[in-house]
Amino acid sequence: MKNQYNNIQISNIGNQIDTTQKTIAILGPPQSGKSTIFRLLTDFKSHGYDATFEVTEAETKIKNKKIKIVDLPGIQSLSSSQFSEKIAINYLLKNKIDLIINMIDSTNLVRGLKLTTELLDLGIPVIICLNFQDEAQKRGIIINEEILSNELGCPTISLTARSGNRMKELVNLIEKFFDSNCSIPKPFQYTQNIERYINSLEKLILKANIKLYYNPRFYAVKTIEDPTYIPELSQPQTNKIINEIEDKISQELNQEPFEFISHIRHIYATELANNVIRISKNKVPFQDRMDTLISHPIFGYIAFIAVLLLFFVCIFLVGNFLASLIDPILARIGSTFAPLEKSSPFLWASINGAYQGILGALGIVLPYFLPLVLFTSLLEETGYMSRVVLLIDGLMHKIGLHGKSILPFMLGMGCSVPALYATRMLENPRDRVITAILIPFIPCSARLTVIFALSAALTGPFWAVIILLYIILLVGIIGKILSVIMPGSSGLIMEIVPLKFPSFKNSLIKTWIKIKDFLGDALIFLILGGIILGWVEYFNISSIFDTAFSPIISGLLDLPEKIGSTLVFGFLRKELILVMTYQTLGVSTLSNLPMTITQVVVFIVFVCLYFPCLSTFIVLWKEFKWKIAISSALFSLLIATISSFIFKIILNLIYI
Amino acid sequence: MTLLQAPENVPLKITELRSGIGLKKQLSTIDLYTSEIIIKLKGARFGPILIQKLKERNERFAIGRGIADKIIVELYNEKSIQ
Repeated sequence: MKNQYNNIQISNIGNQIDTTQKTIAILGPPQSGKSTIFRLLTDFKSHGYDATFEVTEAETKIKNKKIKIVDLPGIQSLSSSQFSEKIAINYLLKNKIDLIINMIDSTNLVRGLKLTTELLDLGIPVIICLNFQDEAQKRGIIINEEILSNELGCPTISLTARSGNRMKELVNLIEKFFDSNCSIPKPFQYTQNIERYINSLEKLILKANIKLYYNPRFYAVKTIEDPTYIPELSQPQTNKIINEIEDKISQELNQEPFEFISHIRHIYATELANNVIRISKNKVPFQDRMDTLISHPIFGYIAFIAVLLLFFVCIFLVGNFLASLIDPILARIGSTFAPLEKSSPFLWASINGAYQGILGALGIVLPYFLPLVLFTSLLEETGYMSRVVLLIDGLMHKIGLHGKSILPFMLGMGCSVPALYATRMLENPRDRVITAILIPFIPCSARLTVIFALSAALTGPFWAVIILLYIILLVGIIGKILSVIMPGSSGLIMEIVPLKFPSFKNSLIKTWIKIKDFLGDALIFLILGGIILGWVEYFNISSIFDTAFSPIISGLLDLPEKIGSTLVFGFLRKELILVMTYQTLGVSTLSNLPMTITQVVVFIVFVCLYFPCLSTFIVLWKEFKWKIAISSALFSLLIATISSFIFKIILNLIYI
Repeated sequence: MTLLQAPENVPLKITELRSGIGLKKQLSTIDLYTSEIIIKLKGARFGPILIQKLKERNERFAIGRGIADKIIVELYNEKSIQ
């Protein structure tokens, strides 16, 4: 996909290409459209995840100059203690940034402007992007860009990033920065007495000879808010001076210094927003009326169940439809090399293995993965997830967590990896650990595909629903046990962003990026896995894995011993299990699997719970250290064995 | 009275935050300070409290019941906000 905005040709000063790379950081509150702008400015060189909990960098060229664009996790304040926000703050403090693109949600101007007042102290150029212009218009909000720009001393532009509207003008503003026409904004002014203390601290910081990327004033203000903000400044003598200043401010204002400074910024942001905003109509938009319904204490739950049902039914139906279109084409391709089976068995084993990999990726996984990603993206765009937090908070407290943990869980239905990163939004480390241990139990798109594909072919949707309900119950029970072992949940504090109409175009772009990632990454895994399994079958060494797993697989769960080896491949990627299952059992379609309904259901339960995949395991290790990663893996194996055994007993009673 | 006990849909003035620095810092990220005027939109028996600022109708926040119990408020005036 080509970005039209990067194709704009700009005259080159003195026909010389500047080799010193500039860095532009995109900063703003969560869900202000940072990643959308990032994708547009960088030719869609983005990661596939929707919510940004990591720093993403990409290079692009504007005005013949190479520039690095950095997409940072959303932040409310440069003093935030939230894990994901600290990642953005640390990046900002440890890297030289030349220009900031400050994203602000136009429908929520005050909160955005409060962060802007902090950015002004940095002493570097800032371009203000008032995003979601379309949503603001629907609410009758008209923002005077000129007054805002003059007041803050920063170029300001209203745009709608998801439709690409006014992106050309934003690129022009960035170009102006390269022409050195972008002035450094004046820092935010506090009260006289605070200014006095800022000056004294500035001198102290300059004397300390610390490497500073920004205006010393910024560090001085932050030190007043938090005396430990610059660890290098922590010397007995300087600590004494800082503490004296802190005490004086607390006595003079009868308030904590950070509270006073934050409040001043808030008051200024509120007054400024009132000066620049004109409300043209006082109409309650449709989204707000919908919001009243979906946040209602009773109807909200009905709406939530309806949304979930609709979500899964749509994936099931669209997935089935797409699979029925792709299957005949792939079956025709498969029949072309069938004669090789007798003439060159090894070649056939290799080609057939690769073919099974492609069949699994395109014929089984892709049809369900595509609607899952698209519908999840559309749902996220609306801002409905924060309403789910509201509804679920009470229920989550029953398992010792609070409502925010539901967001990583819902992301986990796409992939456990971004879900684990999303735990960074939780302030309390204990909540993060419990949520992270529970995430591998949430069926990701790969495991949902296993559930949907096997149940569609062999058991019908009833058992798919039962398995999903069982997993929800299981997560609740495990959460409760873990919260008893690790007490001390924190309370919920969360902004509920206004509901928005989803952008189908933006969701399609996100889906395309994820499908591209999947095809580039998973397809190779599946093809290689298929070939290796073909060889394993050819040389008859699968029996080693089968024997290793046989005590659980055939002994305890009464499943065909041969599928033991598929579980090893499932550790690499869960999608491989489907391909490998019918490959090892020697059938060409899932519906021909020689397994009873009981065996299929028991197998699905085991596969869904038995072990996190390799990527999840690595991220668990990276984020929470080896103890949590290994305990989580072994724990899930135990839970999978117990759960599938329970299902076996119950199903044996039903299907006597 | 605490925010948990306060009536719905009337302006409330925050008079005290009975919390340590950690929670005060968290509350300052959503701009809840003493003297701020807020409206409690929803306070069902189950689940979090939903509030909004009197002047900023587009901003709404969910606050857990435990935290709401540490926020002391008083009625700002008698006039009901519909």
